[in-house]
Amino acid sequence: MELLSVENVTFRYPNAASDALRDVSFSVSEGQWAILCGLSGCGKSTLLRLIKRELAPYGKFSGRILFRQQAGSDSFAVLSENVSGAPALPRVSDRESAESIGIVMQDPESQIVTDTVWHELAFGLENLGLPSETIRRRVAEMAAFFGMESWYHRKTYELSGGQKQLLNLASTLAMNPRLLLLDEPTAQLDPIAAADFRNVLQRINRELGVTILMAEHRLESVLPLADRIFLMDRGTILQSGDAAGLVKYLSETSHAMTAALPTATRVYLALAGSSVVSGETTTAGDAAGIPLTVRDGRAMLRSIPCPAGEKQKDGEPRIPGEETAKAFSAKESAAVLSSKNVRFRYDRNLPDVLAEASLSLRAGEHYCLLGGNGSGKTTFLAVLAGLLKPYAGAVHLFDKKMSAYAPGTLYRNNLALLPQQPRDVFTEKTIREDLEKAFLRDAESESSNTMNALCERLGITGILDSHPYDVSGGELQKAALAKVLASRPKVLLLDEPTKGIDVRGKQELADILSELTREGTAVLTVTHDAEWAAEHADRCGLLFDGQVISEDGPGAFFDGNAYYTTAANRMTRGILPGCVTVDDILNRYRGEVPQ
Amino acid sequence: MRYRRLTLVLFFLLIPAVAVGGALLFREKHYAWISLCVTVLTCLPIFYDFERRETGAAELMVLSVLTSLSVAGRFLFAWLPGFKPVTAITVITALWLGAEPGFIVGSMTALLSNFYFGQGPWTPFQMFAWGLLGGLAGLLAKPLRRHKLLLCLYGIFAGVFFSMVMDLFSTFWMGETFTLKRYLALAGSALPLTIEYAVSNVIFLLALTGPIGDKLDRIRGKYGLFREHETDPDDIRAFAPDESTE
Amino acid sequence: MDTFRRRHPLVPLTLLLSVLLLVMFAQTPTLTVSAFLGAVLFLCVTKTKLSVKTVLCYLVLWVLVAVTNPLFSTGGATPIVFVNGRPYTKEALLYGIHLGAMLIAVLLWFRCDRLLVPEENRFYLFGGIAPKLALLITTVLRFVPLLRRRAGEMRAAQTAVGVYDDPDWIHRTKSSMTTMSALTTWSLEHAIDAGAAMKARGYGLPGRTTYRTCRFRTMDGVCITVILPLTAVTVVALATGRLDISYYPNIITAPADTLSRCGVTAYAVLCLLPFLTSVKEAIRWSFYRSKM
Repeated sequence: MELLSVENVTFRYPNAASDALRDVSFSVSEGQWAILCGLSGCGKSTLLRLIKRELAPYGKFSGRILFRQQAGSDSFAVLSENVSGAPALPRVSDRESAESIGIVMQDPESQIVTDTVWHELAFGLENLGLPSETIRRRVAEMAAFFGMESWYHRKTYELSGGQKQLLNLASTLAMNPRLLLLDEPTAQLDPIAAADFRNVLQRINRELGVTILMAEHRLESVLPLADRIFLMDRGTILQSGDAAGLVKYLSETSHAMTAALPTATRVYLALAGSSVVSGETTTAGDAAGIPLTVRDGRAMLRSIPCPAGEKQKDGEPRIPGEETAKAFSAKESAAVLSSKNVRFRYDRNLPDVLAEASLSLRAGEHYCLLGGNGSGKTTFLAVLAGLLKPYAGAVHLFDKKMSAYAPGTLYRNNLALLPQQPRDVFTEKTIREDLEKAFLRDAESESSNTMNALCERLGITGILDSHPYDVSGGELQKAALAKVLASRPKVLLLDEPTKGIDVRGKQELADILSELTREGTAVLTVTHDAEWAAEHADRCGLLFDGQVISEDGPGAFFDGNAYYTTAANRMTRGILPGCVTVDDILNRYRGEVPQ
Repeated sequence: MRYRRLTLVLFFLLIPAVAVGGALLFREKHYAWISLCVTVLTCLPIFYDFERRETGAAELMVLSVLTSLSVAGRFLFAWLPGFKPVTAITVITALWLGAEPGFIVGSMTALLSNFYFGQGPWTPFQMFAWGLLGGLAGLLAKPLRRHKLLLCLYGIFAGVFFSMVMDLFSTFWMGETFTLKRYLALAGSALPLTIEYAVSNVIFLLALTGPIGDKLDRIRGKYGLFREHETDPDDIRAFAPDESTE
Repeated sequence: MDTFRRRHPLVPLTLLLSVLLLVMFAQTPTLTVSAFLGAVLFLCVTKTKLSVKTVLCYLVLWVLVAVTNPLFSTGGATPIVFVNGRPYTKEALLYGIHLGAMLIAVLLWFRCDRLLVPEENRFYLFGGIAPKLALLITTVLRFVPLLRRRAGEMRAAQTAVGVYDDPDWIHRTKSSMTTMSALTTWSLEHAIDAGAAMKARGYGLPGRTTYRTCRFRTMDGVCITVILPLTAVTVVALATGRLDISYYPNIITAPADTLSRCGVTAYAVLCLLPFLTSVKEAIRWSFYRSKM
């Protein structure tokens, strides 16, 4: 039975040239887990906000959004409408809307209202006007369901990002919603916290029967969970159906979202049509035939003939030849930034965050430093950038001690850091003002030309006159990169640059970085994103327990890890040794796959 | 609702009664006692009105954020003692959002920053002084927004006023009764601090009025907040940060 | 140890108000001594460490108040020395010593307040009388640490792209202003998001309630019925002038009688309540543990 029905919704923001949503119609049934997928800016967030009436943006709206007020009732009530000639239906009351439709958004931080966990859980219930006794019971239930008893009395600002997002979910759920809207809820979380969050969602959906409508642009882990998927593009729904239908549609139209599909699916699609998996491709459209998870992917690889010259046996991990070459050439050039046995702690009474951390970065290489949450990656980056001073050990930039740089020289033509929150580098009213200030500091006549050239190259000329808070995450990041590059750094440090960025943005970022490394800039990226690192790094390292352990080319690095590795590697482990990216797998079948 | 009204009536009757009763009871200390009652009595009606009024979620959060900024500002500039943006942020809030938000931000900053910097009998006096400075700026919003010079003068006045109130507080509490001589001696010894307050107020007002005002305008335009307190765009132009006059 | 922390916040509030208002406004040395001792004993039994700096500050304040008082008050009859031809009298000095002790006692009681009321109940009573202010307070308590963290992050971010150059103080002030301005932008934008999150969870619906975590139990009533009569006895003693003391020209105390003795005793019990309950708890615990 349908719970939510969106009928012919069109929406346009004030002063916008085109519609953000165009004639969108779909429905979600009770108990389903539905996904709205699409690239950033396709209108999925706008759609969710229109459904959650309290958050509806200002603008021109037409169409109808209907909601079934009581479970099992045979008529709909109206959430919002602007149509002529439709039969009159009762309106969903404000209370009903607040209570029955919950929403969790992307940024864990900005949804927390109060200072303590227990109060946060109670906040929505207070708004509903429930008596303290009822609130006490519901809050206790939620804390128990989410296993948050141990942090029930904590201050909200002490929580980790993952805990904050769980708290947001719990305090929404405490209000007993029947429809849960989620707007890229795991985009800001590290992989472990994201997996925890998805597990909880699965319990909510399976055990409590809450209907879920989730906007997401990364399909790797959520596609297998979804009952129904809507593919959005530029304000319209292109395709709706199950996972198999989506995969079929994407492969037929070679839509940009294909790159966001799970690894197993992408391998399947690349191999499909060729002789390799011909047996199954005939039944494309049947979900059973399309692998969505690592497990399915392994089964698929086991079922098809091994590529020529490959033994289907657990063998020695093989490092692809060209990669060794790259690592070797990087070894040749001198280290530009190096840290030796660096120790750091935030306070005398606190434990070491970094204990004997050593790393050396060479000109023209892209080094990815991976590590779990709280492993001190960001701290290490700040130490390497000279923002924090180690109490033992030393950091050298171009064979000169960090502390030997005179004020004002370190961050000019030498080293620059792109922070985790790109908006932090902006201080002015428009991006242009900020960039001009950064470029004009060099007082060179051609600086405005350099600036225009750089903006051109990054593709941000169109947003220069916008406020830094009015552009999308991907655009803002490129603008921040422009500001960072204004000082013409020879060493560029990046903190989690792929967080919250869609597949297209990630590819663009990788392209820019590879261009920079080709020009000789050394790039050090700190990231959780194993897939991205495997594809784009020259070398990878793992920060654990305050030290850099296991440092190698991406192939050997990820192949050496059993858990902290890419989906492609997990999928091929013991079947095709040495593969860490989709391309690696496909290369093995080269000759058998039409290029 | 009825319960809340009852408590307030109680408050309004109780506090004056307590003031008079206390003055009779504590004969020697009646200055201190009455001054305490006055500070509490000034805050109450404004808090009551704030409670009664509908405030949207975003509006409430904006007030909360401004208060927090002014508390956090005390930390941000902690390396320069006496150099605090509290008055400036309170005044800017009042200029853009009105007298009552100004009062609330000022008095709440006093209450909550002392939560970090130490509560004491001075808390009600600081609440009173900063709240009043905010409220007054709200009433004088039009001229203050138009003329930079007036705003600077207000900053100086605010520094002196704050110092005066706190000296008055000290005089009441450190002597058995109010003596002008003691007051002058205290005010004299606090003169460097008074000057620092005044100077820092002027610096902060000049540095922050443009940027914060812009941002308040921006969110008001973008999200339609605080509509009832309209500002004339002409008034604000004076603070556009060094825009070339063409 | 935390008898008062476990009670309804109304109980410690009543106690604190009684102790503070009486000691601040009465002029009686016996009351001041009780308040002083009550606070010190409580701080000792709860093993609260005051920093050397704090203690020094208190002492300096005490001496300062005591020594300067005779400079402004010349009412006393027994001059010790003459300063610029004005008498520096014994009575005024004694009054100053009393005044200083009173100030220190008040400051110490404000320290005890942190121990008597647990942090999460600090603004609890606001919730009942002024729910909107209480909500404002809880959001500010969340924002302040967040803004401090963000200020640090923004400063670091801007430093590392070369926004700030020189370490001199003019630059430092300027850069702090820039941080403040950037922080304002971020936090106002954040306020809008937080406002949206509040609305999404039903803020603005009519009939909002406040979640009362503390229940007023019989024991709380008992505590208050102990505190209030003790306060009342002291107030009566004060109001009838039995505890009056006048310092000038000579120190004259009202003659002691039953009522004045009752008043002083009642106030002393009031001041010692936190200490006594703590001791009782400690004994009970060790007794309980010895039986285990």
